[in-house]
Amino acid sequence: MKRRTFIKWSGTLFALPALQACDLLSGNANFPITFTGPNASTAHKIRTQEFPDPQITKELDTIIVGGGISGLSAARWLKNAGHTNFNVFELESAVGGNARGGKNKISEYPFAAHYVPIPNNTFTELLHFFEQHQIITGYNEQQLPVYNPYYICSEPQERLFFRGIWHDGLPPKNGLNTNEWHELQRFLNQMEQFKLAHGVDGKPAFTIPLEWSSTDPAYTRFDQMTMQEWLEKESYTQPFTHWFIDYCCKDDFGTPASKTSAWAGLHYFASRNGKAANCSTFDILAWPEGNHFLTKCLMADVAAHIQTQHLTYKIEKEQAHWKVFVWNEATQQTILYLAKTVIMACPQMVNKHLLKALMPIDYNYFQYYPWLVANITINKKSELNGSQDLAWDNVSYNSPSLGYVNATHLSLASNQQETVITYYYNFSINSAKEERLTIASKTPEQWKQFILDDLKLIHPTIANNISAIEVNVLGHGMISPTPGFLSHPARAQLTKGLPGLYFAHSDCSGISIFEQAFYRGIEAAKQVLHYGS
Amino acid sequence: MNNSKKKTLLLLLSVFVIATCGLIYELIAGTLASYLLGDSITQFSTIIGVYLFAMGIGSYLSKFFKDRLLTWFIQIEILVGLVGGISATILFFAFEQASGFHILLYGLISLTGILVGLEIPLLMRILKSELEFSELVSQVFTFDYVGALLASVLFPLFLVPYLGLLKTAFFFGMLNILVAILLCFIFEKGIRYLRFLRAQAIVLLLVLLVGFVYAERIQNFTETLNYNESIIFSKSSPYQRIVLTNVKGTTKLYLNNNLQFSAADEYRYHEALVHPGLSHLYGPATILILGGGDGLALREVLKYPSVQKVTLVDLDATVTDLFKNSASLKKLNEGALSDKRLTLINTDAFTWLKKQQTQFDFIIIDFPDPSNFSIGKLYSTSFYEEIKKVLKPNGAFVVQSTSPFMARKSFWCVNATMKAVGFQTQAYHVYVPSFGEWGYVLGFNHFGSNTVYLPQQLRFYNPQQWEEMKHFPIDMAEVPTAINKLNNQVLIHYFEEEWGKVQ
Repeated sequence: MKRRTFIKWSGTLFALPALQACDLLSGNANFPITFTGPNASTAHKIRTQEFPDPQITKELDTIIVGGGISGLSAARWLKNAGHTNFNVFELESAVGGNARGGKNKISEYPFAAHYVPIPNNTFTELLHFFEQHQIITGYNEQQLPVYNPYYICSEPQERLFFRGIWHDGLPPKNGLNTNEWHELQRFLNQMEQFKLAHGVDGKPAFTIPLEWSSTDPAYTRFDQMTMQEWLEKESYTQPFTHWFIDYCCKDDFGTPASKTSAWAGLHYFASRNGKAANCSTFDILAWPEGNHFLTKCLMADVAAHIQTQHLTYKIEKEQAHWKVFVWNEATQQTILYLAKTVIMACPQMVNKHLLKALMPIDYNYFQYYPWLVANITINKKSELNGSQDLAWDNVSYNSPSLGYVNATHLSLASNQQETVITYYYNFSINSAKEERLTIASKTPEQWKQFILDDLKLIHPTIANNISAIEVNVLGHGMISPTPGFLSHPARAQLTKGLPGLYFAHSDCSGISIFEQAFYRGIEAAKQVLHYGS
Repeated sequence: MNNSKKKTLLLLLSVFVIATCGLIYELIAGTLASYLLGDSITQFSTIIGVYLFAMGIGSYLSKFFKDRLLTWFIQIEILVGLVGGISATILFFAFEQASGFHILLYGLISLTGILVGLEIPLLMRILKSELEFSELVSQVFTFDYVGALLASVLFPLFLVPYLGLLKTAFFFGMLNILVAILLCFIFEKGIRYLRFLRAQAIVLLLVLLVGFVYAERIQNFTETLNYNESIIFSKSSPYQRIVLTNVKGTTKLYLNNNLQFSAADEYRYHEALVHPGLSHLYGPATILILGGGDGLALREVLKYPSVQKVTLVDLDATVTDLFKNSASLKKLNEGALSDKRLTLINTDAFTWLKKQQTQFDFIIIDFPDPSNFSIGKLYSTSFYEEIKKVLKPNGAFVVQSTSPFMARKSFWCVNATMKAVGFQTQAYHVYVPSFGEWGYVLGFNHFGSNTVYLPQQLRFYNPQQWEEMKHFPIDMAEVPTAINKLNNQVLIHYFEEEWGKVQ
């Protein structure tokens, strides 16, 4: 008898609480745990820059450093403009950055980013991209986009484990007491007002891309306080309201409300106003593999230009061109590229080492908190049902984690027994550096226990239904818009760039979402095209 | 009463307990077998026969036990308790696995019989020094038969109704072991391996106690007791639990405890599913059936001589194999699943459909009711959009759409959803005694009002009937509903709301 079978039987026959308490049945569940984190050992070599001198020199019009969404978006834009003599250098073995994904025999699943809300109708570049890849299949008589129904996240989208049971929706449609409900409604109504608000410059108070938002101080002043302070100022007192907003801040920015700029916090709720023919503003687009789907769409156009396992470790300016030093991890060779223009599509924590004095900005303002993303294979997904069936996004009020997303939710198979859930945890209580030190010391066994201890609060016997865990520890998960960040001069410097060298990463915007990365990529590509002409 | 007499009485009491327990185990086995396998006369008769025969073997074997009789007696007593106590549970679980159940059933009966059969002769030999032979025989058999009477009276009147089969078995198993423990303490000196026996007895007593306490959970786990009918086949496929039952010659199919059909009236359901659509089409040649792995809708389809090619897509190969190979079920679907015109595909309908290029004249959609979100997708606008792509312009499709009486909104929601993707529809209903009022919706672009061809010798459907089926009385008449889309899944909410009241 296999161990798992034994556990199942013993769990049923002699479901002894005492035995479970001593973890005999659920704690030592015997499933494999694997790591798929970023290639930190190679990446960290840019600090010391100990690479052999280049033996080969090559020339290119443009080099894109980094193959995340912003790099791929820049590449796509260049290619569409007929500017084709360029390469994208990516350190990892696959492009996509936070929009990468994995696959096992049950499903594809995301490594990090997993959805995109219905975009604003003003962001036409994004709508065109969606049309090109059948995410938008057409427009109705009112010119509203028709989204591919298979990509609109189907019901039940979200559920919340709150006061001992699962409730439909997030925020939940029921389960709140009168005071909690009224305060939450007040907050949401206030956000609806912000959605409609415009500054004296005629621009929307909050929109995506955030660069198109109003610069009216009536709104930008919110960048000078934390979201927590804003809530207090507006007399929000219910713990549920605070929990909900804290959750949203952690989910989108990697920091709690107490560390997030209030402007960013409000932007989260008030910037999305997309209208569609066949779904609502609050709907989202999702795929089993998360935003890796979008990576594949972007890659389709530019695959021939991508070089993976290529670490860019140094950039120098020499007369009319840029010297870009690239380490090919596969062939263990250094190559020197001479390029007319460069797009820096990597985070500033990397640029700091690549550019050094070339770009004298204050890098301390760029904070990236660590994340844990674990893909957990579940052998019987019906075991995750409760008072509400398993939803796409499943969140627990009492857990410090951000819950989990069900990868097979969008699968059309009607009788799938197994699934993969993607579990998210953001470490932001202490400083980013301290948090990184804490997580770096954890062993696979400790991660397993860490995840199980949390999940057991909502699914007491989940260990019996896990067949594998794939852990992805992201030391620098995403940029966090701390107070003052958005109005910091470093952002303006990055937006301007250097002559022939431009910045595309979403951290230049301060918010790590697909739309921002997509936008920054286009902007940097436009700068490159402009520089040449 | 002196010490020796006390011990004699004790031993005789244990005869009484053994006899009671023995008969209880036999009754449990008989009940279980007729419960699970049906045909109670055969089951009881063979089980009693095998049990008594096994007791005979036990009695014969008793002569090979030469010495340390009391030790052996206690050991056997413990074993009887263990085997008898867990036998019912083992049989329940084994039945779920479906194969080799008979061997296990008679094996356990024989083992219990042999052990019980050993005990009486051993006991008589232990007591022969204490009592006269005539006294011995008289007393032992008196206790034996009184115990049997008690068991046979208690079993139907008290044990089955109040404790259930599993608890009863665990209870008497414990009783056996308690007797063994008692003997261990009273006859301390005459027993070898005393500590071993005691420890063994106490551990097994605890095991049975746990089983007794958790018997209901075990029972829920097996589910088998939910059927108040004789089960002729049961198997868990990777997708569902398949149970076939038989009551007085009528076969019924249950998938995950939901009745799929009863052979007594399935013709009403399947004739109503197939003929209203198919009989109005001109020379339908290519047919698609989604769901319907029992081959019963297929049987109706094959009655049309114009049909050249039928594609049947059903998720569960276990179901289609069963209905293709079992003699009694083949009789029911007239061997439809072996027809040369059929292409049988075991895969998920939605994903399969999305990849199709060819078009069909008639499509039959016979999925389970929309009781969960993953099945709800098969009733969505997106699904019907895919149907549109594979339906010939002059073709039609029919959807089994739950009961318009029990789930009125759900039914009309299916109708509204089909309309929303641009089809014209014709809703209709029929009375199927096992289900009640049942509803279907036909979808099409053009649909003739005249019957083109109707097979001979149908048992229920005819054109006059069709006129009645299209009429909905007030309590089932159309109600306005939302449209079921992937991203709202309203149908699931209607269905839960409506059937939730009933179940």
